[in-house]
Amino acid sequence: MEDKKILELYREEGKQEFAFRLLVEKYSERLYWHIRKLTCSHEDSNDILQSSLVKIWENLPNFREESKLYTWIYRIATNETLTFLKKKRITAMLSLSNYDTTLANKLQSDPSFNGDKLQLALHKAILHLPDKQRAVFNLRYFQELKYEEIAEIMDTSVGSLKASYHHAYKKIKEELQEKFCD
Amino acid sequence: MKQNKEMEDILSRSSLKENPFGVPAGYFTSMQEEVMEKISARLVAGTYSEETVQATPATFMTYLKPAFAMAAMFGLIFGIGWSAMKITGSYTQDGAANEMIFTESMQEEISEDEIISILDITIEDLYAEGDTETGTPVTTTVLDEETIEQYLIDTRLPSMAIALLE
Repeated sequence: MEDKKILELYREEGKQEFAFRLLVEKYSERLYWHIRKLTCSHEDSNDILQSSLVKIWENLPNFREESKLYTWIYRIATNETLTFLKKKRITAMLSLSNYDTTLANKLQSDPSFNGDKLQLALHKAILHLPDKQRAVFNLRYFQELKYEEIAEIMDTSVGSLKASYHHAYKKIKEELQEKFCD
Repeated sequence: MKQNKEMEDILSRSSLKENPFGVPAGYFTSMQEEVMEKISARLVAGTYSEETVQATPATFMTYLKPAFAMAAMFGLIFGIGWSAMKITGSYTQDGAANEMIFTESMQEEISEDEIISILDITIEDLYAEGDTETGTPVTTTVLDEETIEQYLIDTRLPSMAIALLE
C-alpha cells in the first residue's frame, strides 16, 4: 500500500492502529537492516527498531507531510541509532575501551553473518568510518537512495552529503586495496 | 591505477551489496506483533491519547527554558569558582596566622635588654654608622638651639614656626 493511502487511513477515526500496523509491516524490515548495518548486533538493532517504531507512532499525529513519509521514518530510526552509538561510545570511553574494536569483534564473531571474505572486509572497513558517514554510506551504497532523499533523512545539504559519501567511498576502497591488491 | 580500477569494479559488484546478515527464524513477524502489543498497551493505559499527541504549541516558557538553564549553569560555575577562591583564601589566612605565631615565638626567645637596645637606635645612629660607598665614618654635628634659631631668622621662616620652636 502507498504511503499516502496509509496516512489517509490513519486519519480516519478508529483506524489509527490498523494503519500503523500496515506501516510497521511495510517498513520494519527495511529499517531493521539499516540499523543492523550500523550496530552490527541483532539485539541492539531489535531494541533500537522497537523504540524507533514507538517514537514514530507517538509523533505520527504531528507529521505534516512536509517530507516523504519514508524519509521521515528513516530519519527517526537513524537518529535513534546514532544516539545509541554515541552513548555506547561514551560508555566505552569511560571504561577505557574502543567501541570500534568492539563492533569489529561483534562482526567477526557474529554467527548470523553469512558473507564471504570480501564482504567481511567491506563491512569491517565500513566500521572504521565515523557514525554519520557510515549512515550516509550505507543509505547510498546498500539502499541506493538518492542524495536528495538521504539529505532529507540526515537533515543536511546535498553538497556536503556528496562530499561525505565520496570521502567514505575513497577510504573504503583504499582499505580494501591494501588488503586484497598487495 | 590498474588496482584502483580493479577495486572500483569489485565495489560496484551487486553481489557485494547483498545482505550478509541473518536473523532468527520468524523474527520479523514476532517483532511486529511485539510492537503492536506495545502500542495497544499504551492506548489502554492512556499514556497515548488524542490530546497527548496533539502538537503542543510553543509557549513563552519553551523559549525561556534554555535561557534559564544557561543562567543556572553560569551560576553553578560562578559558585564553584567562588568557593574555590574562598577555600584558597582561607589557606592564605592560615598561612598568615602561622607566620604570626612563628614571630611571637621568636620574640619570646629575644631578651628584653636586646629589644630595648634595638629600639634605642635612632635614624641618626643609623646614618652615623658610616658612608657605605666610601667606607668613611660620617660625623654628626651637634647644633645648639641658638644656632638653629638664627638659621631660621636668616632663612626668613614664618614667625609661627619660630614660636613653635620656642
